[in-house]
Amino acid sequence: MKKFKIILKRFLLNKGSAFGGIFLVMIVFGAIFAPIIAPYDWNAVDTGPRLSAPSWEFLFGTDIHGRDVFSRIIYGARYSLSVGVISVLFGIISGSIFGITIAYIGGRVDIIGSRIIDVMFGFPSFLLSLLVVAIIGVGLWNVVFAVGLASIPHFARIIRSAALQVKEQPYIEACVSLGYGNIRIMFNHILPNIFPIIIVIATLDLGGAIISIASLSFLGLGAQPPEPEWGAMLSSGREYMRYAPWTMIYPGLFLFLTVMSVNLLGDRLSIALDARQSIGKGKV
Amino acid sequence: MEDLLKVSNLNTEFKSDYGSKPALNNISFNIKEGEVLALVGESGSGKTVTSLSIMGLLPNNASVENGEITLLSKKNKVINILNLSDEKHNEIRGNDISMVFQEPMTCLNPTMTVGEQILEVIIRHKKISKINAKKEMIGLLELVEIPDPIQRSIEYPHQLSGGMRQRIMIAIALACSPKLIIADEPTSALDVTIQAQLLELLKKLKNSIVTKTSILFITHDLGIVKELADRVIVMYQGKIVEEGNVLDVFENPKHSYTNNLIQSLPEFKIEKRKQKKIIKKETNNKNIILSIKNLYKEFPVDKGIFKQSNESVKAVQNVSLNVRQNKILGLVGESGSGKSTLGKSIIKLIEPTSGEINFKNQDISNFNRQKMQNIRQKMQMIFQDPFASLNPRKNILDTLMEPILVHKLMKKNEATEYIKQIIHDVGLPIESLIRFPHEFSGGQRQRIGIARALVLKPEFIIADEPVSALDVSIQAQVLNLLETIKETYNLTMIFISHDLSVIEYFCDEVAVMYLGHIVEMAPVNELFSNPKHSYTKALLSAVPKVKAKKTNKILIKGDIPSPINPPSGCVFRTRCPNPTHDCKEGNIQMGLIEVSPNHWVDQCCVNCH
Repeated sequence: MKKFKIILKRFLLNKGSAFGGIFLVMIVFGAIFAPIIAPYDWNAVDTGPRLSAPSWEFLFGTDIHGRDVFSRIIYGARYSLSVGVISVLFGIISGSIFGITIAYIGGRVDIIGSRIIDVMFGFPSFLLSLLVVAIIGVGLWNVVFAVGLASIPHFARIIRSAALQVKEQPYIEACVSLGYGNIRIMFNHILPNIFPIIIVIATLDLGGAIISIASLSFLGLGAQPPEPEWGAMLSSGREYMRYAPWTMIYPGLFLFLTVMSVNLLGDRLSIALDARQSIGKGKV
Repeated sequence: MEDLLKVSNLNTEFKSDYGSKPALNNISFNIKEGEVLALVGESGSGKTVTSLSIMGLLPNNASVENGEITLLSKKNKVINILNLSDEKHNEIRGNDISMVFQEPMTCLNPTMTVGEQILEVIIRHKKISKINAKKEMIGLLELVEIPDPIQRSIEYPHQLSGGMRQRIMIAIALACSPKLIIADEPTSALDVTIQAQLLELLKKLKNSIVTKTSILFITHDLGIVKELADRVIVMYQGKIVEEGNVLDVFENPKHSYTNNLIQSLPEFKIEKRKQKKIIKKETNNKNIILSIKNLYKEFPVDKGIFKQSNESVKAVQNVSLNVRQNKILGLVGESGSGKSTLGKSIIKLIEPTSGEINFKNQDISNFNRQKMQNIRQKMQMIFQDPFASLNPRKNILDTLMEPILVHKLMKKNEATEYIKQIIHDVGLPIESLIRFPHEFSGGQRQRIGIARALVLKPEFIIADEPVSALDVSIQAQVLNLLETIKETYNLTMIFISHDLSVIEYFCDEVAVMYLGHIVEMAPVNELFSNPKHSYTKALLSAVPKVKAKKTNKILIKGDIPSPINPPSGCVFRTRCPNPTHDCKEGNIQMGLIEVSPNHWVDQCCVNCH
């Protein structure tokens, strides 16, 4: 408990992570309680005069269909964080299984597996996602899958390194001497010990995943109208940018703030987790 | 003789998120000119912090709370060290006070040649031309007895062996003829025979240096203290508990901690045993539990993915031995001897290249992982490193429960009771079960490692250097524990160690290994009173002892050859003090011959002497 309080203290004292933490809490809160907070129905056409400027009635103005931008932003929060998290989860679980397995088995399997990772790295991840969408079709969840898939080589490579290090430790040797099977050793012993690294790289990648998904939605490949996903909102606001900039500014602003908060928190999280490891070092 | 260094009422603390922790508690001592003062203590006693406080090398979270350290500088001025600015302190470091560290590899810059590193110090503090500095540098290399100094000076640290690197560190420390050298466990990371060489060197230097250099020698090894030091200070938990002349302190220790430390030494425990005439229970059991025939293990050297490599590390060469039931066989050797590899090959953590391993009359050398499952229950291992041999993410109960569940020995309820009994047997409280490894000390973790080895009810245990990473007083406790459980659980053991005193105390039979071969094997009393192989003799004389009288040391020269290219014929011939002509040519084959009942010696030495 004491350790947790120290970690929390480290977070809050740093202005960056404090801001990031507070903002993310607000976004999550907004996403969960959207029906209560949003003043209007996000999908109701002609809620107000079309393309009207921000006012007390419509805090962020209205879009081309007369829908309240503020309500759409709040509901959009549901998409932006969750799709990022799901995409990263998919990538990290696949990457972990792959990375740990090839690291543990070693030998030819490791060589071939590493070369597969290298080949996938040859493609810029964005292009890879485009390729996947071209094959399986458009749609928000297709894009989530594509971005997750493209993140696998990045995760697998790091996790493989970490697993290689853990594999050398005497307690893994002890597992073999106690007669444990390979799967048990890989996922009951190696995996828990590389967990901190996994959390760190997942968190650091979350911001990138959110942006990638929003970008693909911006290109029209992801969320389809009328879903209030922020990337898609950016795209539809483009046409009216000159005389109704609020249709672009607010989705863009919230995307920016969300990704920045995630990155700030992720940074501090990696430092905090590292510190936690050294708090626990024992002495003879 | 004047006081060279005077430490008065020094208090040093470490600050952390949890609060301040005192490291040094009001310590005072002095070092006279030209004397060797030994600073003895176990981990956490504060000996390293003392040296760092003097050098001004404390980490950022440490601070000297109060106290005084004064030094009589080369210019014959009394300087208050703690008041010095970092710049002025830099003038003193390397010049008036220099330091030799424990780990020679990490303390030498891997990107600079060793010659350059010595030159650096000379040029920093002395105002002489580069040519003269180079001459001095070669002179220093000769002083520390490095063969071929000019060739060596352009080599990089990784090209030198551990013993050589430590000599370079000593050369760097001596470069500017300092008044005080602080040596922080300089030989702890070295093999016994190399350590003996270095201690002889230090003794020579101590007697020959013109400007009376004092040495503050920090160590945990009381034998070294007896050999090298004039006076000794004993530290315990940040306080000085004893101080005096080496002979006085060893004959008549005043503080109970010092007394305890001395009594924990294996050589004293052996004497006590002889005095009390405790005879080890001679089991007449002639059952051979483990029989190894012609075991080889070679590791191919990697030269890239596609290149075929002809070279291999010859870790274990033609080893044959028998272990009888309830006996303890000791495997002793220095680095590269193959003792750890042999231990791991026996329980098949490493697959042997060829040879037979007969466990209870079953040849397990070709058993695959599945077949080994049953055998694994009966053969267990205790590992060396107490910090890395327990999974840090599992609490003790999980660590001990898992083997039972995997082998389906008992149901969970039964198992919990059983585990509680084992934890009690290894001397730990039941509350330990819910804790995690990092909450325990090294000695306690080793007890947990022992408990883990016992959980499957084995008949045979291989202990791979189980006490080498522990302090002397903890060593004694863990050895006692091993003795007890051996009796209680009716075990047979192989005990691997590089520490001869521990082997003498603990084992029934000993096998001495060198470069993968067994060179001598005998019952313990026979081997230690009547060693026949040159290497065994040298090994025995190299161990610094507290009680033993001064005997002529058999020093073997040079370093241990690489196991990739061991010498042909008798592998010891390159370092043997008196090889025959045939031997030197590499014509003699190796092989053990029984020279007296149960006493086996490699035939090269039998024919020689």
